[in-house]
Amino acid sequence: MNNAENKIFDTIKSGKVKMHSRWYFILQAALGIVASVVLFFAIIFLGIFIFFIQHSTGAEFAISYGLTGWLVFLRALPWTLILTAIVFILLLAILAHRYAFVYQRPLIYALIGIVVLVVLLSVAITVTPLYPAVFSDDVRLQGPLINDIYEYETAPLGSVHRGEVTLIANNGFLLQNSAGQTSTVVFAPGTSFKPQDFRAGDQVVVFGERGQDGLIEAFGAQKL
Amino acid sequence: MHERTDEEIATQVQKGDTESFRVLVERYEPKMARYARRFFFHGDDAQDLLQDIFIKAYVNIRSFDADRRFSPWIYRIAHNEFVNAVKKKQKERANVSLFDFDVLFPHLIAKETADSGVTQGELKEMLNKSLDKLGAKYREPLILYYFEEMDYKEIGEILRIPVSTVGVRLARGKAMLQQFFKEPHE
Repeated sequence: MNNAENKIFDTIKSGKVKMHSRWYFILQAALGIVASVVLFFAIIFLGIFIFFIQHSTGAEFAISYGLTGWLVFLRALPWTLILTAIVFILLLAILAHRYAFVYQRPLIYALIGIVVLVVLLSVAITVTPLYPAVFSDDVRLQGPLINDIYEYETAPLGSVHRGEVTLIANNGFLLQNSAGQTSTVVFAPGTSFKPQDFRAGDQVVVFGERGQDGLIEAFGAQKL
Repeated sequence: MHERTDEEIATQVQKGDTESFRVLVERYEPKMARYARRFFFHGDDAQDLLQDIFIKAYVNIRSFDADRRFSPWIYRIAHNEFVNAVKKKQKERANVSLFDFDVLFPHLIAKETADSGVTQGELKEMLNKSLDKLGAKYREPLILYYFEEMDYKEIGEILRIPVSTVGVRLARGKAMLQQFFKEPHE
């Protein structure tokens, strides 16, 4: 036996190092699984919220108004939530990478798999009765982070304005949002729609910048 | 008499037979020493790392699944020890990121063939002479394949990368070596 081997066995026999029990590894694996499951459900929750916010703002209709519409749509996306979800997905990929079924395949498959699963589950949950219950005004989850996330629903979204038409005028209409604030919407020259396309009581989403005078100059509007 | 396999010995150690661990150390100490040299660890540094590898193997032996081969398991421990030691030594990141381009995307598996241009013997010699010319990313699969005689699957287990990525890195590493030997050197 050589010197290195002697040192190894001296260390072992001295009791300075001890073999971990099987339970140590079972617990470690269980913690890894729990952390992965928690992350997975956090991503699902964020995914549902992203769908919910997209749906509630009506910003997706902006993409039918060309490049400007696309810019409005991209600006209205809940980027904080999207980036948080991406960070969580990367963390989940790192956690899952210890398992052979994950690292034996190109990482892109794991990332795509996670994203597809989250999107499918999020979409599935948004069409279940649970979704409107969770996101209704009557049933609200409580908590510091949860409350921050709900804020998105009523936060001003720059060029996206949602509300109810209260009065039709010659070149636009009056729009009342969910907070009861009324704005005057005027249609920008060259737009293909007319105020007569709308009626008082219509729920609409309007796309356009609000001027310093408070008027919204709309380049697009859509009934919901 | 039937010689006990590494896996059988590891199972004995898991049951508390510390003396059996001595057999594993005797079997793997020369391999680990050779592996350390390929990472440019010599003398006391190499000795310290070898001790760390075997101590870690002993402490964590109950995480070893005896239905799988022991060899990739202990090489994985060695890989981690060497990569951490290289990071400390060079104070820089070893190029073995999880989000590496090679690991991220799928590749076709390019198996080694006899007519790959150079013989395995020539390639081993080339590798011996110019290991320092290759980055860790390409060097390690070549070492494991040509010197430690691991197959693609085992290399994938040790480095935790897909088998197809092992093939890509071996092919690129070989091409780099051949290119290096084609270029004139002073």
